[in-house]
Amino acid sequence: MIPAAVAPSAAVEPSWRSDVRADAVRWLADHRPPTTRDELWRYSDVDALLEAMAADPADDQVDVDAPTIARLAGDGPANRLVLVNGRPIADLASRDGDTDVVEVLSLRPSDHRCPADSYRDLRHDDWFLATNRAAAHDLAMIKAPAGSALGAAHVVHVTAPAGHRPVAHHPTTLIRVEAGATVTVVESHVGLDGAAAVNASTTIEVGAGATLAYHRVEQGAAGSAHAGHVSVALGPDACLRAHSFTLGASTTRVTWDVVCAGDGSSVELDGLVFAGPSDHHDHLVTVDHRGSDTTSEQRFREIVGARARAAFTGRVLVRPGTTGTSAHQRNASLLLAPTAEADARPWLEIEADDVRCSHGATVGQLDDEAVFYLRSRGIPEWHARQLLIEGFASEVLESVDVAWLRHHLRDGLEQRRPAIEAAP
Amino acid sequence: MLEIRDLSVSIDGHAILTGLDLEIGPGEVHAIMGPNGAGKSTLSAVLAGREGYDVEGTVRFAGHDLLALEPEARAAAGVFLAFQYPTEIPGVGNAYFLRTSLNAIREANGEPPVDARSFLGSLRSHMEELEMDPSFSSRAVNAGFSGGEKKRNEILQMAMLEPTLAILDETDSGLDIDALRIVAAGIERLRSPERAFLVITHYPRLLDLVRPDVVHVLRGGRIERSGDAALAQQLEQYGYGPRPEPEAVGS
Ligand SMILES: Nc1ncnc2c1ncn2[C@@H]1O[C@H](COP(=O)(O)OP(=O)(O)O)[C@@H](O)[C@H]1O
Ligand SMILES: [Mg+2]
Repeated sequence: MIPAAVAPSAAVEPSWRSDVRADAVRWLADHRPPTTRDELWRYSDVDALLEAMAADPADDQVDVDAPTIARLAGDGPANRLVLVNGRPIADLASRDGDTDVVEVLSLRPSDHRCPADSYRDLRHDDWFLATNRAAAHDLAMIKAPAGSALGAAHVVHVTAPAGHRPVAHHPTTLIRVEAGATVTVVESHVGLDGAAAVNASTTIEVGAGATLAYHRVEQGAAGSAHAGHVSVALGPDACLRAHSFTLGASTTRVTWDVVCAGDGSSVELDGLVFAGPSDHHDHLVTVDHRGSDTTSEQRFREIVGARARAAFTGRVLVRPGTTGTSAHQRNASLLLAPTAEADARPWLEIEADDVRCSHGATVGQLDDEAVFYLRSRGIPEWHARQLLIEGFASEVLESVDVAWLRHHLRDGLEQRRPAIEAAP
Repeated sequence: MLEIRDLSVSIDGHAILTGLDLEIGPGEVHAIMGPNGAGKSTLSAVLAGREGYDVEGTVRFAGHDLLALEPEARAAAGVFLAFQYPTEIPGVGNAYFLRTSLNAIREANGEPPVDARSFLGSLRSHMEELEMDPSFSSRAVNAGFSGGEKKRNEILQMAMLEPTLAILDETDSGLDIDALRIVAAGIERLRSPERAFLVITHYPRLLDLVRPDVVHVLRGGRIERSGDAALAQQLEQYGYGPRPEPEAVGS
């Protein structure tokens, strides 16, 4: 099955690009989309995602102004690149002198430069990822040169349905952090109102001794569907400090594939997922410890509204022959109503001996004693619940070092207050 | 100001208070003493509006039928409970919480929100008086606070919210001598002709620093005895049992 969104462009493409595209199209012809019978997709609402993805490609040119971008994605000192329906909008790009060391550009399909081997060599083992490769427009490309520091980039992918027609959008981001560089990247996925499906892919390489702070923010339009895939390769002593926010769309599946390839590499990933009433979110994180002395921390929190469902699978692979692995994961779900549902699934495949590993999951409801305490201080019940929910989220938000983003995310959560109140 | 008539409280059919009467006038400080499990915390929780009790009787407070009000409406009407075991609120900053609380009460009373500068100014000065480190304003409410720090934080909230009826449930328990003095001074500073206090305690130590107008003994589900401040000393000496006759003591 080849989705409607795959419309190989007749435009002149360089061979590296058409090879990737053709390869993906071939892969799609040979494989069926996932179903919930596939273990890795068991907790996903995969039918809803696929149905949404069958919409026409989002390739209309839609005008979006700077205040709208600031409202949807936040605004702070960073080299900013904004793509609307996969096309860069030059007027919305901005550069910040202090963070200028990082290169931010958009590669047209006709561009001859190949951005990264990891893009070319991609394994198409995921239907959504292959679909992204087959359909992708421009590539948002971020490059931190070797040894550079203080770089900051903000990539904003906007999905803009034109009129009432549902659209499918396949944004692609490549992040390359060269040896010894330190950079902060914020990647926002936002949408104008309207039915939309987003199938996003991000490919990240972090070179030897480099550090990437990467914040992935999904704040799509209410009712939209979002499939996201982040694959990361970490070099020796490379360090990834990442956040995964799922705050907008109604149906999501976000997959993180992190490979600690180099010895001494480490990843710390904090996630926050907001499931409004009847939403369905699924997160799968895989950390593959291929090098020795590698460490990983996965910490996810889900806020789950009435009739909503949120799932988290934390997968840890420790390869034979490695030593000194440390892998920890924690999941906490806050159910806002008895009809809310959370699934936490640790999935450990340990093939080495020298491993420190832990996992834990808690599922709770709002603490009645805490609600009473706040009400006894004059705070109305709905507001007391809201404060406790914010408090639950705040433990993740506080770990974001980028102040403007932290404020933007707080505001975003506050705007979802009606969704919380809708919970009985 | 506060008028409790024939108050009976039970929980899951287990009677805790059985026909309690109590009246407190403006400006008065009343102490309630009584053995563990007598129902002192239950009384304070029922006054503050905790759910889960079967309650009979009437409580009038400043013209309100108190028992008919939601907890937040009681706070807006001027009732404050310093909890025996203050609840931890992870992720919610202390100053943010206090400001939200103050503004909620102001809004309920038709007043505009507090000005941010004057709020922070008064928060800082109250914290200084209570000898609280400034870091407590940004820490999450009660989270990881020691027992004594939680109690001080209750007094801080009381000072900021300026209630007309403050119920202090064993605020002195677990405080060292210095903390007790600081907390007592905090209560004394708030004492005024318009404000009433109901101080629940086991120890006359606190009542030496915060002199009560009336001392009650809560026992057997009701107010068993009432007297002046001297009653606290007698209880300290003789316990809550029937007071032995003077001649019996000598023999
Ligand atoms: N939630 C509850 N469920 C059952 N029994 C309770 C509950 N709360 C209090 N009690 C009982 O009510 C009695 C009074 O408790 P409490 O008011 O805490 O006493 P005090 O504060 O005077 O020590 C005790 O016997 C206690 O065990
Ligand atoms: Mg008690």
